[in-house]
This record gives sequence, structure tokens and C-alpha cells, in this order.
Amino acid sequence: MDDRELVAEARQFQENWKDEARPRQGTRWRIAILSVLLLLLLATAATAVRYLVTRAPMQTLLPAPRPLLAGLSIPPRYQFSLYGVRGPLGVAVSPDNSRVYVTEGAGARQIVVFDRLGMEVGRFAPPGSQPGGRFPAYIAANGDKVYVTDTLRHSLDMYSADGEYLGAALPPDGAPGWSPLGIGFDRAGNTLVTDAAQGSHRLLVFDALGRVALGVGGEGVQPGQFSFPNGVAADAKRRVYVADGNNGRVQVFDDSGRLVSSIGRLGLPRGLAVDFAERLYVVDATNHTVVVYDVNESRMRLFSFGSHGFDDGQFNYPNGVATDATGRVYVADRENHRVQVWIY
Amino acid sequence: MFGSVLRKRKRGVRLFLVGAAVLLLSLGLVGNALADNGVHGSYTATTDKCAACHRTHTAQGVSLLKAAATATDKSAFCYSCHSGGFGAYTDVRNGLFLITATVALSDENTSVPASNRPLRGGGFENVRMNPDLSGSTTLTTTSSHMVGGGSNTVWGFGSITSTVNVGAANVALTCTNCHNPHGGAGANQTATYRILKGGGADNTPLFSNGTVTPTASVDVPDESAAKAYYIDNASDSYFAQHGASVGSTNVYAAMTGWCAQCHTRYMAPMPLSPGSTASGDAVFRFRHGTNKSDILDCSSCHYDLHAVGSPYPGCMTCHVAHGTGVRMQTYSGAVSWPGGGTVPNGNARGALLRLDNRGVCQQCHNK
Repeated sequence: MDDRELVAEARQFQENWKDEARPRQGTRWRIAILSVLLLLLLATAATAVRYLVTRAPMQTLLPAPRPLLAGLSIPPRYQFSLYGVRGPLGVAVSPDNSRVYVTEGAGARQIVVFDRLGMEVGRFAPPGSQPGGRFPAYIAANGDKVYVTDTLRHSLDMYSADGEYLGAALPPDGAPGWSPLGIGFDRAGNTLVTDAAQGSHRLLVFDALGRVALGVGGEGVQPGQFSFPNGVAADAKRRVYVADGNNGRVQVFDDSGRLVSSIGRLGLPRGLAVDFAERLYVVDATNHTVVVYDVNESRMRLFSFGSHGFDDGQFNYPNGVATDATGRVYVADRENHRVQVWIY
Repeated sequence: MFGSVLRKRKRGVRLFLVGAAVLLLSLGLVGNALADNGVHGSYTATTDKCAACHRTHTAQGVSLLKAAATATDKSAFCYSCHSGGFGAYTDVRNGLFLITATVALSDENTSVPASNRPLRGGGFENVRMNPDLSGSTTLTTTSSHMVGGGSNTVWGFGSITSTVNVGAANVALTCTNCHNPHGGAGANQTATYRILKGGGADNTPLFSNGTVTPTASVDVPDESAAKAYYIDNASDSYFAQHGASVGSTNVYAAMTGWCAQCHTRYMAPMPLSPGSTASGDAVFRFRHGTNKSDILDCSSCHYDLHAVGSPYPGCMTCHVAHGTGVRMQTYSGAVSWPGGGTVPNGNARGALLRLDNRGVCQQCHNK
């Protein structure tokens, strides 16, 4: 075979290869498109199966947006509600944001546990107690423990994250009677408790060893005194906020127990929380709203959200509030028998 | 050397005096959370308390309340404080006075261990009582004045009549049907027992079903000092702890007169042979005596557990005001309703009684 024949054969081979390659390229495109469609189909099927199994609201199946660090004055928006609770009073979120704990003031009066999607995953109550003999009020999660105040049993009960009863905290200083109501923690690991026992309405701060580090207040209307202190929370500077329920104000103390300021003109302040952006949430039960303040700007009022009603985003005597690190705000909507989830 | 010691002593004395003055001042300033106080009274000329519950031009509920559109909502409003100890010790939902042993209240002995006490009126959802005389226990309410919604019949409302008429039907009740949350509800704005509506001019009607709207006129006198909201461990008498009389008024009689403002035909004379005189009413024909004006001193012969210190059986001798957990068995649970109705039966026929079945009869009559 001479060179010309070889060149001609090569050209022929090239032509043949092009003819073969054309349909092969089309097949690749078809395969790519089919693969994308298949993936979409699988994703849709998986979402449908997940929805059918969990019945969780579709909003929760989408990734949570990053918390909005800028624009502190922009209120959250209603996302969905957790149902299946009777007369919810207190709400808490586990440190890893995966579980939501809710206390019931009616019905079975248990602590109901939800996952992040809003599915009930468990219930627990003090062992040996009956619904008529217990009244779980406020709740807080710290580390791997959950703390619940009980206003009929006058106790502060401790549970594991899975609801195993670990015992009750002893009254401070061996006092014969106390009536813990609000419960919270500061960032130094101290336990904050409001005590509504007759004649001794006060704020108690326990150190990590359970010793009383601070006790301030007294029953009354003067600055520094309380009338049924409810929710309690602390900010990053260890200032402690106490919802002074019947006095219609939130009192602010520094870590030495000195009264720093007072946030007034509230109807019936109940649950409190401080979020990742140092915003203070105050549930005003009789105004059916949550009022939000900037703790770093002289307790400046930023905004409020919610109004009275029965629809999504409306409250009917709300009580407790909790926030998590993903930008969620949980509000115990007492007479609507649900916990509303709001998000930034 | 001694001078410095003396100066230290003087400083100590000064500190002590200042401390004592501060303590006395703070004690003097502490208010009592009692019925005619808190948000329920003692208003000053520039009071701040109105805004706790009301809006003048932008109210969302009746009575210019911030938010309370229905009877159910109104009780929810009250439950914000009077349930679970979030804003008051009187927990009417659970029928308890929430008490710890840190402070002596009314006639309680400080040596009594810390525990809650049964409210005299019982509870709307749960109640602690001793209905079988075997000991106090917590029960689910079986019979109540239904303030949380639902239609009530005001049994016996109306005059004696020969036509069948059991009372006022289809009445929605809430806390403010009986109580005036502003206090001072008696004639001339006097305080009344448990802020019950009295002869005061600013009381709203006791109830309304669209046809009738009776107003209160009977003042039940308030205790002058400490209020005994609860029943101690030694007695479950309604009035025993603060006496059967306030001033010259017999509280049993006053309370019976108060209940009879709505349950009109249950007020009956007290002849020597109770129930022997026909009233002329088609339904309430023969009635147990309840009217104290016909004095019959049962306690001169019989020990009456439920009327210690009083010879007058009245409404509160046998019944509680809010709710009871009594159990009704075969016969008691099947007693027909006034007018011939038969349902619901069983425990729902508890009629706010203090003892299971018809234990209240046996307490006095010892058959």
C-alpha cells in the first residue's frame, strides 16, 4: 500500500468515525438529561415518602436560612406550628437545636418532646404523679439535662434529654418552702430561678455546684421587688432579666444582683428569652404579642410580632418563648393549644 | 485605742438601726394579694391598673377587655393568673390554694407541712376534696358551673309556677357572672366575700339568656381581715374557719340568699317537717328547707360536719361553688333531672355536692 492509499484510508476512517460519533454524542445528551430527570424524580419521591412518613410541614423540609445577623429590627415570620399539646406554657430547645420540649398546663400535663420537624417523639412526667397533682410550668435545657418547674408540686425537676427523671433540686438554704416558677441559665453555667412562694417573691441564682450565689427581691411593687416573677433569662454580659408578671415590667439585674433598669408598660409579661443576636423576647400574655428589645442599646424596643386571634401567626394568651441558634423562635400559644415556630 | 472600738460600736449600732428601718419600711410597703386588692381593687385617683386588662378605644372583647370575645375567652383571661400559680395563689382551675410553709396565712399553723390546700369553692377542672370521708384526694371535676364554654341551665330560675318550667336554659357562664373583678361590689362600694357581685350600682347582670337579665342585690359580707380561701386539714367546712357570722350577718344565710338570686325556687321555707308543704310549682313542688328565717337548729341534736358553728343548713352546707369531683352510683346517678330529663347521668349528676352519692343527706339525717 502506497502513501496515497494510506491517506485515503485514513480519510475514510475519519469520515466513518464522524458518522459513528454523531449518534454517540446524541446518546450522551440523552443520558445526561435522563439522569437529571431521574434524580429529580428520586428527590420528589424521597420528599413525598418523607412527608408521608413524618407528616411534617413542607417548609421544614427545606434547609433553614442562615440567621440574619444584620437588620436586628426586622421581625421574624411565621413558619409553622407544633400541634398535639394542651395549654402549652413553657418551651425550650436542646443545645443542638434538634429537640423542642413543651410543658402542658392542661390535659395530661406532661412534657412533650418534638423533633425539629415538628414530630412528637416522646412524653414524660414526674414518676408517680397524676395529671391533677402536677403542673409543669417553665422549662429550660442545659447540656444534656432538662429542667422543669412544677407549680403544684413546688419543685424544680431534672430530667435527662430523653426524659429520664433524675430528681428534684433542693430548696435553697434548706428553706422549708419555695415555689420555683421561671427557670433559665446564664453563659457561666449558673442556674436562674424565680421563686413565687408567699412573701418571698425573688430571683435566685445557683452556681454550678448548686449553691445559692445570689438571692434578690421580695414581694412588692417597689423597684427590685416582684409580684409573681415569671420567666428569667440572661444575656452575654450576664445581665439577668426577670418578667415581673403582676407588676407589668421586666427588671434587669447585673451579675451582682444590682438592679440595672426596668422595662415597663407591659400587660402581663411571662416568658423570656435572649437570642443569638442579643435580642430580648418578652411574651406579653394579655396583649397576645411578643415584644423584642435590643439588650445592648439601652433596652431599645425593636419590634413586636403576633396579635390576638386563632389563625397562623396569631396568639391566644401566649406564655413561654424560646430561641435557637438557627434563627427560630418558639412561642407557647396557650389557649390555641399549639407552639408556633417563627423564623428569621 | 478604746476610741476606735467605741467608734466601731457606734457604727454598728447605726448600721443596725438603718437596717431595721429599711426592713420595717419594706414590710410596710408589701401589699397583700387578696381579693379586693391587686388588680381587683384599691384603685387610686391616678391608677395604673385599668390598662392591665382594658383598652379604651381599641378593645378586642366585651367589657373593653384587651381580648376576650366569648365566655370561653373570658375564663381564659382569668386563668392567666388563677391557674397554676403564674399570677395568683388561688388556682380555681385545679381547686387549690397554692401554699408553701414559709409564711403563716390566716389561720394556718406554721407547723403544718408545706402543701397546697383545697379551695373552698372546689375547682373547674380538678379538685382536691374528701367526698367519701376516707381522706383528701385529687379528683377530676365531675360537676361544675361550666365557665369554660358550654350551655348551662340555671335550675330553678323564675317564680313559682304551675306550668312546667325548670329555669333559664342556654346560659353561657364565665367568671364575671358571679364575680366583679373590680371589687367593691357591694352596696355603697363595700367589699364583698370573694368579690361576689352585690348591691353595687356598677355590677353587670348575673347572667343573660336573651330573655332575662337578673342583677345582683344581695351583699355577702367580706371577712374583715385575712381571707380564708382554703380548707385546712382538720375540717372541710366552708365557713368554719372564719366563723359563721360577719358582724351581725350570718354568712350561711347571706350566701344562700345570694345563690337564690339565680336558683330562685331552691330557696324554700324551713318548717318543722321539711318538705311537707306543696309550693304550687309544677317542678319544684316539695323542697328541702333552706331559708334561714325559719330557724331550725339541727345542730342542737345532730353533729353536722359541713356546718360547724352554724345551725342553719344553707346552699354551702351541701354544695361547692366552682366544681366538685363527687361520684354518683346506681341510684344517685340516675336521679331524673328537673322537668323529667334523664341525661347525662352518672357522675354528671353530682350537682356540685360535697360528698359522694347522697352522703350529704346522711350527714345530717343519720338514717
